[in-house]
Amino acid sequence: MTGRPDGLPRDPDGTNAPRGLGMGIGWRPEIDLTVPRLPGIEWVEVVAENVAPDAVPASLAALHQRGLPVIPHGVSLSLGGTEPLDGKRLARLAGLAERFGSPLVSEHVAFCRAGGMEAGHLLPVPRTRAALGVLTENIRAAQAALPVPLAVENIAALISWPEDELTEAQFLTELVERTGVLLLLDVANLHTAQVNFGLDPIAALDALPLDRVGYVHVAGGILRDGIWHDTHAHPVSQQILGILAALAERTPLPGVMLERDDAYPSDAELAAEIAAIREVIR
Amino acid sequence: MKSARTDDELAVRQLSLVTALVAGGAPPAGVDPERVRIQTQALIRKRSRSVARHRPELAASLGADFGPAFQRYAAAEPTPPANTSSDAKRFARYTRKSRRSLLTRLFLPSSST
Repeated sequence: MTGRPDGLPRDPDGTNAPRGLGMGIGWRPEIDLTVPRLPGIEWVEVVAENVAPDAVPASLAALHQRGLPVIPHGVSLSLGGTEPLDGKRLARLAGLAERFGSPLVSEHVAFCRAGGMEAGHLLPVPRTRAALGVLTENIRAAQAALPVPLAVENIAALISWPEDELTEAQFLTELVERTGVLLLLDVANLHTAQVNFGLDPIAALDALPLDRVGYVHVAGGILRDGIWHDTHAHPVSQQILGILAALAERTPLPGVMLERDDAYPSDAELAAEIAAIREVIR
Repeated sequence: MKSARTDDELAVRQLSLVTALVAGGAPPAGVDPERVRIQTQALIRKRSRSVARHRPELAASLGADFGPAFQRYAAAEPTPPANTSSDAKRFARYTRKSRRSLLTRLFLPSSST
């Protein structure tokens, strides 16, 4: 795919990169009163499973009404699963994109169920040709059902498969080339891959098609017994901001957001964290 | 092109990991069992945090025992339900039952097994 997908904010200098979202945050019911008070928030992402298109919480509807773009983010489509995509989950994503006039929607390069059992978590697919085939088919099916472009995210993994044939960057690049999908690049998850599997995040940045990045996730985590846990419940570390800085050096960033899902800090701390991210990407 | 055979292999591998994580199965061949154990624990922690957010009064009533109680519940019922609300209901039922059986053991020692 050569041209840029329609519907994304236009880049004034006419390059291929979808730009213009700016600084965002993951909207969560627990911080729904904080989000509008945070300085410099230009857009929000919502977890698709937690917001119904016909029953949008008033606080979120108000933000949208004020003109903030809202991007639906699915966590349970299981694009990497061998079972057919669930039409209801797909319809929910599409319905939210319609409701909010979203520029794009996002999901994960992962599977989360098998044999009728829910893992309750995003799990890594083996990075094999067979898995590429399954993901390609599912991403194409999702793209066909969605009214706007799809971006897929690199996940935070704790386990890896012995049959992996490709690096994560090669695997994602291949998916982009096959389907034209955008990337939701999570810099915290690049850090996770470095700690948990020894993968170099800078080498990943140099290998990925950065002009296909739809937006960027930043989140905090914690090191426990030598393993990085991407908790979204701890402050963003300097190493993760360092990867973000390396990314910002390489490409104009279309949009960057903070994910905070638990152990919410004070409004002031959250604002300081947003400011620190903004400082890096300026 | 992918083949049906490789898709089947992929399905078997994915099922094997999910079974190990939520149904007490053995770790998939070649996957570090210690990492599978850590992933299982991470999943339980994530569930417990979701349940605590969903039912703060339940978490508060258990106080410091909330974490350990959730661990015991997850060990007894490792397969997570479809959503947090069902998980919270099942956890609440589990804690009621455990409390009843504890009272039974305390006050009716002869009838307990």
